[in-house]
Amino acid sequence: MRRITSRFVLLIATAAVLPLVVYGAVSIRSLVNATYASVIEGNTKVATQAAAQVAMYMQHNARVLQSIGSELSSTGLSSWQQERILKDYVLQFREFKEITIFNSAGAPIATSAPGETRLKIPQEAQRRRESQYIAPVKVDDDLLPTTTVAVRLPHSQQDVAWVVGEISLEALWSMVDGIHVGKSGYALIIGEDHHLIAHGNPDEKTHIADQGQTRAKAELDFAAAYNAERSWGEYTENGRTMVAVGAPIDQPHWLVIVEQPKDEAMATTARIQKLLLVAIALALLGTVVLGYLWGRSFIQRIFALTRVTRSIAEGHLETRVALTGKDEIRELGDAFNSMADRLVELQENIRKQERQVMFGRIAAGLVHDLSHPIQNIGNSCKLILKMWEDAEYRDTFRRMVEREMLVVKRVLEDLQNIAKPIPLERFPIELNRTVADAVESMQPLAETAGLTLKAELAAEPLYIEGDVFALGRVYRNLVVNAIQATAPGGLVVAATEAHGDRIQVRVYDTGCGIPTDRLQAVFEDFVTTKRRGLGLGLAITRKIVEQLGGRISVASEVGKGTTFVIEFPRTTARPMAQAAG
Amino acid sequence: MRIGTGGIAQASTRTSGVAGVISNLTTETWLTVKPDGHQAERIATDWSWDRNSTTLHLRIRNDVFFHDGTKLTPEIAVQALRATAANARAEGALGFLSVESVDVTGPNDIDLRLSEPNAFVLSDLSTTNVRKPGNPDISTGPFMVARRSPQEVVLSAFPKYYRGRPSISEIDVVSYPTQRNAWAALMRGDIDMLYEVSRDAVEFVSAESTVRTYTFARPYYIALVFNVRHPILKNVEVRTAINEALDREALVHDGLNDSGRVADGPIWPEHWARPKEMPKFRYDPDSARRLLDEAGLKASRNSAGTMPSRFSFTCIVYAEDSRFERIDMLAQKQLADIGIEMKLKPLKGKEIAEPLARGNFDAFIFEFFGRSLSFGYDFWHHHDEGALFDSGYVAADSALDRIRGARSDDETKAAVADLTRVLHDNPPAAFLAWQSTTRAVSTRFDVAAEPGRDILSSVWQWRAVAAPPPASK
Repeated sequence: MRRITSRFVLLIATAAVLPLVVYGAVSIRSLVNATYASVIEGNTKVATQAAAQVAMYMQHNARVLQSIGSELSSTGLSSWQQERILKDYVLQFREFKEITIFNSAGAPIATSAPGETRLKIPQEAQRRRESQYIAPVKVDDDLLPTTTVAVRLPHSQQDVAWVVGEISLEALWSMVDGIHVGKSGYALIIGEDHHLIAHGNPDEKTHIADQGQTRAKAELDFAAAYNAERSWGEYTENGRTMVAVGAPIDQPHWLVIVEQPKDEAMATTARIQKLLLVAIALALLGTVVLGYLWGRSFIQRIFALTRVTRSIAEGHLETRVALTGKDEIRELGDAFNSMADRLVELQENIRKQERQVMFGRIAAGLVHDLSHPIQNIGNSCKLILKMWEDAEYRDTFRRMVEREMLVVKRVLEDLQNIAKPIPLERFPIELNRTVADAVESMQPLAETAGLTLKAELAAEPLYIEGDVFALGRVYRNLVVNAIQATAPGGLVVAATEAHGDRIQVRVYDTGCGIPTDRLQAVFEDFVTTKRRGLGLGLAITRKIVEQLGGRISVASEVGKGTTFVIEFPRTTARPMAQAAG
Repeated sequence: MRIGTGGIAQASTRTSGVAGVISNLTTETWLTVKPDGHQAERIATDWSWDRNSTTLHLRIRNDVFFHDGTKLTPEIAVQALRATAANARAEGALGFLSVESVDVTGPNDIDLRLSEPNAFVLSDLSTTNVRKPGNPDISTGPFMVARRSPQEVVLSAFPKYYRGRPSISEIDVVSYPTQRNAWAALMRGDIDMLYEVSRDAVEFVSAESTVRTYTFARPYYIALVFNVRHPILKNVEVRTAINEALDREALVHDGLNDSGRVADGPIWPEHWARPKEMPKFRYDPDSARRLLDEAGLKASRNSAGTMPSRFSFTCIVYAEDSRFERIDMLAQKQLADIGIEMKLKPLKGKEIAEPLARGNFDAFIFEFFGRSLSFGYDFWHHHDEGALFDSGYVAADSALDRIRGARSDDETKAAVADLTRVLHDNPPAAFLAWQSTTRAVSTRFDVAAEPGRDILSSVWQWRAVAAPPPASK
């Protein structure tokens, strides 16, 4: 039954959630792609702006040198004046560590240095024939990035051909340090010679001082592979996947990279993704719960119907099912209740019929059991009128009336014993003796029936707690039944035997036997295998045996005979007279 | 732990940082100096002068051992002190020139008998390292030299160090050719401490999450020293004008990147004897010009190619320490603004000592140790021999002699007040700025840092913490 509920849940869940899951997957995919594109675009803008700033900064420095050249060329200034101007520049612009002007032969004319200049015209600058040259960046003894900028002056300015400045790029570092993307996104600059020049992440600055720059390999590889078509990429750094975008600088030929941990860049998407998954999970859970409750409310009425059916099957015909709703199940419930009402009526009718049958059987039994003694008494009464004077007959009459009245009394007692407990008085008794007495008293009846009745008693005395008179009744019932069921020439035996702490009395015959289907009903009230009679004998027998703490059973085979077995617990007590003697 | 030192040679000592680090970690002084200039106990636990201030009673600890396991007994201490007295000039302990005898006077007591009262003996006890007589390589500091090589010196913890066995068992002091090399080594995790961070790089190094920086005021001041035998600089007005022409605030800001403070004399700003009201030179270029005018020094055109100036002099500057370069240039510019041409003459360490000692200079810019008054005496009192420089300046000799012979704090204060007045009224130099120094240490170490003190003095108390991994070669 519960499988129906599960199917309901699955059906509802599949119908409701599957589209939701598909929708969620598509949405997440679109969101991830859009966010990634947005990150690339945004970071590229940052990198481009940074590249523009760096280019502007470097151009500004070059222009300063250019203007120095213009200021000092062809103006007839003395060398001390030129030096003074150079020193003023160095003091004014902190980034200039030293400025020296050279003539066309490459000899220094004036310098800002306290002594001799440390600077030379870079060979690369002379080779390139360009108006300005920015040498590869190095870290100076003050730990700051430094480069040499050489500005070539026009040929007309022959006295000052070159202005060479050593520039501390501290401001460049500060500029790069100021660029943050998210919490852990930084900018960095890769030089023309594929060396790291600046890194906004304070903890990564070590890479700049690292001569081999082996630890900045990912960034350098990215810079080496950079081109206009592939301006972004990913690499792993310290176990984190970084999303990097590049923006080139024309002069100097540097590359600004903005890198950001991918997990941070996509954090919003990840959060939305997580929320979406949670929403879908909650929807799924809600649907399952709803489906379960719905299915349960539906199936619950079927369960109620099942319970009532089982109750009625167990005999509780008064049980009815109360179903809500106005659907087919409600109609089924109403029909079921109508059927139960009808069953009650039918059962009542059956009971009436059974009562009538029982009454008929009792009446017939009473008629059978009482008509013979009454008829005997009636006939004798007629004869006694004629033979009143015959004293012997009167005595015979008296004995006959007493005998028949005893029969009537026994029938009435049986009826009385069925209705209420049989009054018993239990004393220690010797069983063999009771059996022997009963067999002896029944010998005339057996002889009349033309069969053999005998007792097979245990050699030892067998003691039980019993009522002698009630046991006599039991033996008589069993022996009479056996005699009545046994054809002339047959055998009826009453035997005793001990089995440990229990004592057994068996009464068996070689009679017609009892059919198996009726065997278990022989101990019930008003059940008889005989054509006539009340059928109370075995019922009373069982009642007495059980009241005495024993049990009775029967085994029979049609055509071969029947065996009744009575068992009583053995007692250590002894009859009073024996105990006294 | 590995300590790296860069290429900066100290102007005052003309030695690399390695020697300083090793001296700091392996040696102890008899006394130490508190930030206010007062002496504090170290190996000597108690000291007192007799009534005439000619006998100094010292009580020394009885639980001090040399690195070779020898216990420092009063008898050995006496031998060590006698050795110092015998080499007073060489060891820079000029106060000990007054020491006539050193004797054991008790189980832990020593008397130093002086020929005359000399307060600088106490100062010298604060700067003189305790070394084993006959074997100056053996001292009593928290670490001892285990082995040496050209590139590094390995120190090991001295288990019998009287203040407790150092937590760090071994220290490698590594010398790098340049500051950059040392810094890179720190960043790579090859070393755990950078001895000195260039003042321009402090900001960047401080930003490193694996490194902590410690800045403290170095007891060194930068001064432009005049040779008063110079025909023009001998004029007090000229020297006063130069002092007034120098914008010290700008020098600290632009020249030292704010890593220092303005100097108004050779007396340590926190020194207990320093007068509350110090005579100071205000930056007043107009007044400077007036003084020069009054001295008859008018601006004039000189020979072709030279700056028209009131007068010109040559200033020797230390070529091997780039820290001074901007100060030199700024001072040059500021003097040029009032018409004085100061020609800078960079000299390397080996070249600089001789002309200074011979007095063969016009002026020079240098840094001077200034924690104790005795160093003021060493630098600004005329000496016939053994002086770092000979500027011909004697005006402060009387005040400095009074400081040396002072028998009480009051006498010292009065003499110091006189000294500051003399140095202002007849300045031997333009005192420019006191400096600050920054050291950088890996966060792997829990550094016992005292405000205002060099963290190097507490290395024996440092402890390694869990992360990051130790520096290795």
